[in-house]
Amino acid sequence: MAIDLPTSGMKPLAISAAEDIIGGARRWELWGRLGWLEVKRRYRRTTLGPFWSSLTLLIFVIVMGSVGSGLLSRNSSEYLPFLVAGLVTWTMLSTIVNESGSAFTSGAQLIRQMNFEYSVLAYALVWRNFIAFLHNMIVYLLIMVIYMPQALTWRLLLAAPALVLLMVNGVWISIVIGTLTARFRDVQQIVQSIIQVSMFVTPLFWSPDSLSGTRRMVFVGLNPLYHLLSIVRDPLLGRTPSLDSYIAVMIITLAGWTLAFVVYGKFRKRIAYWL
Amino acid sequence: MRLIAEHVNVDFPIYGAQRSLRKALFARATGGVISSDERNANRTVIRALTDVSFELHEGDRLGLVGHNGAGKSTLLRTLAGVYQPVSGRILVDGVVTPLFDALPGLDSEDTGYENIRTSAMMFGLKPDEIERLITNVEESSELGEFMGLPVRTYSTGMTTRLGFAFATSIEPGILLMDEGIGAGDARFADRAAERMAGFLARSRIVVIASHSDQLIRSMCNKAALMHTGRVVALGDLETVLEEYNAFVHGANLEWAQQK
Repeated sequence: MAIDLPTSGMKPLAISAAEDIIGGARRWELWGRLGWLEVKRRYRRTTLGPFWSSLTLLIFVIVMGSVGSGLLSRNSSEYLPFLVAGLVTWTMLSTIVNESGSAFTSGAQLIRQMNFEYSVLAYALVWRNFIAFLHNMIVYLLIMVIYMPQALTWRLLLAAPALVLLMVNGVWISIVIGTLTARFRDVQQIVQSIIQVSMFVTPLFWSPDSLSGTRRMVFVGLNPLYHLLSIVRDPLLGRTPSLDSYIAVMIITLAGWTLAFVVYGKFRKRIAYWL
Repeated sequence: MRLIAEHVNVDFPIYGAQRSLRKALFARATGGVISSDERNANRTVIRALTDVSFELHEGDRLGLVGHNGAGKSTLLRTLAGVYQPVSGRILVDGVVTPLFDALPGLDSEDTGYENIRTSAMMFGLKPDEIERLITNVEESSELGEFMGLPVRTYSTGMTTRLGFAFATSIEPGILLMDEGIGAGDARFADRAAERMAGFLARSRIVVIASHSDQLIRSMCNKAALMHTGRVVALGDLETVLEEYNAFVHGANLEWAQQK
């Protein structure tokens, strides 16, 4: 059964990692829809819908805020806004990381069915967490209007590009961890443990200024999560983020995407076999 | 429209024992000591397709026959681009539409309308094509108001009808199917058969795997017999089906003799 006919005009079925990532981004209508439907589905039969998580956040901020401001002897009109601005951002970031492991495994049915840009699933994951973030912003606004209305300035606008950066990072995280978890299911558990611990070692409940010396360098300066957090949190508190944090985030973004291209380039074609 | 498979080999790694990171790390750590050949020998691989080559042109309707585990579904999924061959390649000129599940990405919490739209977008349909498709599905599925309700409220037959209506509404190009698509209840069957015929006629190339001679005869003009991952016979429908039946019979005899 030799084939002698010319094969011009014919293309192989294989999609490269780059085609997948770029082509996937272009299918924004699809991942936008997948992300949105997931939000809708998750809360379809509840009264408050997506606002349940916002309500949880509100209660958490109030309770944790009153305990924390006592513990750290800080003024609650200062501490609550700090806490809420940090938590809305952290919730988005940590949920993306926690869910990233199932980015591809949850799409197993689709991946086994057809050849498409799997990165669509990563974009959808990040998108639905952004939608959840927007819901939680209500809590943020509520707390800010009550405790710190003076911080709602033009600097808030700086939060927008920072959020985009955060999401851009969310995509590579989902692609890398999603791919690794497809092969080794343990990865997701490891990542979730790390995130759980990070919540306390990252300046989220406490101010970075309360640490000094080596500790500050390790848990603040060298903590990538701190920089990703602060480029969004600082504008939300009416401050301009430090240049250091912007530079750190740039480095994280470049390094992360390089890693994503390497890992995905090597293993994308194996994902269907692993599921 | 053309579809070419060129010396396609597909291997399935069997992870089982090596699924966990700890074991893989362990294997890697000991791998340095033990020779690398021995390390590879620990990884079981099943060759699912061996040197599969063929070429299909516009108008070809290929039926894949063979025992369970002969590689029919694997071949279909490889043609769909789900599995990338370890060696050899698949070349296509045209759009490949795999219809293994009638509605890819079906979620029972979503409504009929929502599912149709998602599946259509998965296939990369354009907005105006999607609108036309939805009208078409509305008419042919006869689901009426149920289209706006979550699919979990449907009976099995209704879900099947939705899938069938969707599948037969798209423009398939190169169509890949595993055991046809269910059509739903008997009342629906006549018009379903008609729809199916129209759908197949619109497909430029069809590859379908089935255990049913009847289905293959009604839909195909060529057949391929598969055995342990190889295409052992390819060509005229009746000749290959005869060979398949002789083969089934032969295999049964062998089995009977072994007893």
